[in-house]
Amino acid sequence: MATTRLSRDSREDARLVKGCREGDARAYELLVRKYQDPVFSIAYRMVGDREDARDLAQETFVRALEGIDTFNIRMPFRAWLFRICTNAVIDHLRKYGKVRDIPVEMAVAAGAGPFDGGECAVVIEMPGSDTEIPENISVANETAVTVREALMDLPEHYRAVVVLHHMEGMSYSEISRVMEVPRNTAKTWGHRARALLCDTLEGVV
Amino acid sequence: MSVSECERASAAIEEFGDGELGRAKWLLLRRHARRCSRCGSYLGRMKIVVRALDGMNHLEAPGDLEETVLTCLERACAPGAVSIFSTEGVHDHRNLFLVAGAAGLGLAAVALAVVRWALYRGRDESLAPIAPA
Repeated sequence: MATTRLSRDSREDARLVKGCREGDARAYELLVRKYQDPVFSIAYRMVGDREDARDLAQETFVRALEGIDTFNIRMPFRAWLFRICTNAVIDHLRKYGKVRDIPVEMAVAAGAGPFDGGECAVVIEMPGSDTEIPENISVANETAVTVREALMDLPEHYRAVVVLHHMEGMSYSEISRVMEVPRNTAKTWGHRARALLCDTLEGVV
Repeated sequence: MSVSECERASAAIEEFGDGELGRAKWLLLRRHARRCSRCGSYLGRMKIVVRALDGMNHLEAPGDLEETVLTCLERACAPGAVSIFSTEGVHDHRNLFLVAGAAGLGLAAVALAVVRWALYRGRDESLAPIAPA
């Protein structure tokens, strides 16, 4: 496997991984604390259910820390952890289907769904439009909800690429390591995913 | 509008979606999108999609997640513990149920044989042929 030059953050992770291997409980704790939000977020964005996401995040950490000896310390820990997470999520989705149990409207109202209130405040600027007008903000929020709802209907691999690229800010090279596919495949999945999302907006905007 | 121009615009829109579109290409794309309604509409939808996706923030993990994970690990690391994701425990339980089931069936068969023997013993004697006097 090819190795990459590690960033400062990855070197810090490698130090913590060494600590874990030596049985340092504090190192375990720091790794979990550092990555619990991104891992939970990836799981949540992909399954759309808080309880399932929580269980998957827990499974990810336990699997990762149990198999810490198999981790190649010259590789970024983040990519390895996210690979375990996406594999766990994809297995889960294949096993239980892609059922989303919270209707979008309820999720927005309760602020607890994958389209929670905080994120619905994202304002989308239409070319040449005045987003300050409350009516336009409302329309923009509605389209954002439509896009995120459509995200849940994408094939799992497409969804994973989109979540990793846009939410985690990962490059296609990093995503290819996470998904264990060539970079161009990851890129093609990303393009297809966004094209499908654009299709859902046809007639809406 | 030439097809190749629209194809180039489409490729540029994909690059825009990736966040990799340079300024020069962006200016060309914008100029084309103003003249071509189809590409203009696609670019508009792509902008909305990208903004919506980029607006996805990290969510806060449940407060007890860290504690639950660490407890699981402590349990898994305890001497003689079986990993919570290991199938060994599952097989052990499955074997235990199989042995218990087999033993139960065996006992039931023995009990049935004993009852049958007890019931039919007297009847067999009464039906026994009478010895000639």
